Amino acid sequence: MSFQVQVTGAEPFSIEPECTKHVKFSTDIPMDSDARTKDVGATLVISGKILANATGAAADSTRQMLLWSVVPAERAEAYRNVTVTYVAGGVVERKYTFTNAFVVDYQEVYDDGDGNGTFTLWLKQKKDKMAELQVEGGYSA
Amino acid sequence: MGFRVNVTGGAEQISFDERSITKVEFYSDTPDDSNARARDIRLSVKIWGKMNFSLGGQSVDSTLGAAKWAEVPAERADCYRNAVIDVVAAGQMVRQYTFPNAFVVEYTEDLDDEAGVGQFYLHIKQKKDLNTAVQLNGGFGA
Repeated sequence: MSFQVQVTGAEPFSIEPECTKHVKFSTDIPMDSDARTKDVGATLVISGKILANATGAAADSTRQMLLWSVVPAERAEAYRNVTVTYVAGGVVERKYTFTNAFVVDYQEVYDDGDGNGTFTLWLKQKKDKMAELQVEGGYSA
Repeated sequence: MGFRVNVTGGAEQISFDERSITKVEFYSDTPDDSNARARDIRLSVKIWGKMNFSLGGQSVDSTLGAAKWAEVPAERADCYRNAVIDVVAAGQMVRQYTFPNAFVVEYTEDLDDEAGVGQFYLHIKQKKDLNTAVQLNGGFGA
């Protein structure tokens, strides 16, 4: 089981497969709607480890998410293209493409009882760009 | 993994190191119901640690300074202070959060007669109009 997370846009980066532990894709639809709503949103939650290495250089690119999370709304870099690919047994089982993703929340947690820190990144697709959202899968990697 | 916290700008410097800090959480938080990127970003850090009382001055315990900072009224300049939080692992500075205009939103001290040391919890936020002054560094040798 391996996740590839790629963020393109102003400062492209990818999150190392060693870091990403968990990905959750969800749709946000009003539950009190009496018929199919136009108000559909999509959320992606990515969580994983923050690694350190002994050479002094950065061990991973998780800091890029941290910097993205503080970009103010008036700047174009607040929106980026995010692709999450989930590969199992040589098959791309899922590929989520959020073309206009923005950060809703970002959290980093460190505990002296754990060797590594953990991050959680909440992303949403810009709601007027929902038609560009892609969910693919079922082809060989 | 170890943590260092340094707060300057008040009457006394507040500093904790890996012997007392047990947990650190960083939050970059915008309204969850927003349909597009919100301007309203809340940057905060939560810190948990042990109250290693100074035992007559053998070592410095800054929890008293943290408690005093939490009580500073808003009309005084030193309610905003410069806070630097380091996360160090394997000789590397994994993260260094610098909040130049940090203020206290929560501070608690938990003491009981069974535990040898108390526990404290400090929640600080950057003044929201000065969010761009926050520095988020990391990935260099400690």
